[in-house]
Amino acid sequence: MSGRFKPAVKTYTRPVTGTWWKENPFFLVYMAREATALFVFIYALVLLSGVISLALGQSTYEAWQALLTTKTSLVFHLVLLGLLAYHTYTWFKVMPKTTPQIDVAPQTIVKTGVLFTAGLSVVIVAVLFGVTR
Amino acid sequence: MKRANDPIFWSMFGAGGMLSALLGPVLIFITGIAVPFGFILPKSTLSYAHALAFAQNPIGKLFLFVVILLFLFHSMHRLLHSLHDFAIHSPKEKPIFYGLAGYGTLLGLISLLSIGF
Repeated sequence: MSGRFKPAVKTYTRPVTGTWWKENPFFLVYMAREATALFVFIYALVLLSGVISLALGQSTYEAWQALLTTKTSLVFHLVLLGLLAYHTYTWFKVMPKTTPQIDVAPQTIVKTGVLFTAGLSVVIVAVLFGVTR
Repeated sequence: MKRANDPIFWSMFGAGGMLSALLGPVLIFITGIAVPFGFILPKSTLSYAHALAFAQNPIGKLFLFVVILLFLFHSMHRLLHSLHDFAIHSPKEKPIFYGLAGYGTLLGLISLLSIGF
């Protein structure tokens, strides 16, 4: 908690163990959702390494590309794709809880968000498909 | 009272979460699955010439910068707060996590600027 909200009077703080989340499946789902950040970070590094190699010149960039054509990289990216899709789902699942009270069912927000992402993804791939041929 | 810098990090967490939710899967599909294996999209989509042209275009450059910036700050902010779930507290946590995100962003910015316009 940042200083702004620190109470002036010393209040009792319940001690927290580092393993509380193992006690209830609901908490495990929470931890899995938070853990998606690790994979967003990993993909940011993949992209960053591509941009750096691009700046270093053609041979470096092509070495980076060659790495991406390995079987290990394919499996890695398939797993990463699944985990980021899970991030998309959980991001929209949390959204109704963080928006002000509106007259829309939480499930509608989740469905709309996931469908919008799927549609947007198809459009992006289709546009790329169009401009590259 | 010391001015709180939290709103900046929280808004980057929110913006980065939204951007990675909308674009994360499709970006991974394009750069990691489709293009390297010529699946749906031709391998030439991200050839050196194409990638260079994209990174030299002001909009392409801005896109790459924003994706790197927000993905890094979103994930580092979230992982920083997860530390507390593991009952880990340290005065160095903010400099390390936000510093790492900032360092990555800076590397990206320098690379993108050196690619030129």
